[in-house]
Amino acid sequence: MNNEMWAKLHGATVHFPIALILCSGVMDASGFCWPGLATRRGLNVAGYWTLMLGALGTVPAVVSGLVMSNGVMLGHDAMRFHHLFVWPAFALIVGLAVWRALAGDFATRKPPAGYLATVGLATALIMGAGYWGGEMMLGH
Amino acid sequence: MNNLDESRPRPASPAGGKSIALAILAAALALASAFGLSMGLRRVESQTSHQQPTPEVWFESPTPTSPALVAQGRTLFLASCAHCHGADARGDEGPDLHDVRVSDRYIAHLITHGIPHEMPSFAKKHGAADITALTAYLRSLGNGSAFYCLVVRLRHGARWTATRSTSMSLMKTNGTRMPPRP
Repeated sequence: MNNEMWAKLHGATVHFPIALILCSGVMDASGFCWPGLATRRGLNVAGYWTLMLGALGTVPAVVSGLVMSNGVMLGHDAMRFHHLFVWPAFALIVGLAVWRALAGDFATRKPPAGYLATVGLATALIMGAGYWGGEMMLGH
Repeated sequence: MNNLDESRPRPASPAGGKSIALAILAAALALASAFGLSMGLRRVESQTSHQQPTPEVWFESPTPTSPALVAQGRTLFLASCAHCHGADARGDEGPDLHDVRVSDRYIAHLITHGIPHEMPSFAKKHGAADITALTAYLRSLGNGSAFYCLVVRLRHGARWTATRSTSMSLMKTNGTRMPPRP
């Protein structure tokens, strides 16, 4: 496949982790605040699975991005800013998913505030990456 | 709903130091894998694009070269090419330009027409004289295989050695500073 095809594949795959990680953060934060136990359980289970699927979704997104740019890890201008957000976000999401898989879902207990803060950071980073990805597409 | 009762004693949480260490390890492994893939891709790219010799390289008239032309070529390179190919031409977004084995005509064609979705055309910015200087600079960075080096030495004589040493000394004195992007 040529670079154009990989660019299309990157566009097709990259939105899943963005949306799923964002959803996971919202679900877990809602579960953190929700008073009803049954609803909280539902929100936390949804937060767990959206995080897992989002983390899985980062793999094709990263691979297609690397292939389309011929293996550039940083680059220049908008691409550099995009990557400065991407790599910490990728590492955080994988780390969070592994930690959460080991910790289990938070069905009967509230998620730790530190975990929620880290998910919030990952969400902010992935949104920054998305913003600069858009700048690369529209600004050049 | 009994299992949702928060007053029940919680099972031992695995969310201790071991889990955090494993999570950090997984994150580091993910980044290392991405880095490894990046290195592999760049290696393949450098071997499959401009590094492949074009047959006409053996027959074409060599581009004239001199230390002054190489110095001019380096100035042009820093202004137009270094942002993507690196100030030392060792590659960044664009490929490594040391040891190119393509013909001078192919180099001129790439500069003039660019590569769709990869490299812009510099036809409006650089004319034939600039392309000659850029080609002389690229040639001074090395010419690939030992056999090709021998051919170039035979064809260019002492000039090739002179231009190559000019390029090396320019890199040492100028470092990797780049002018600001216009």
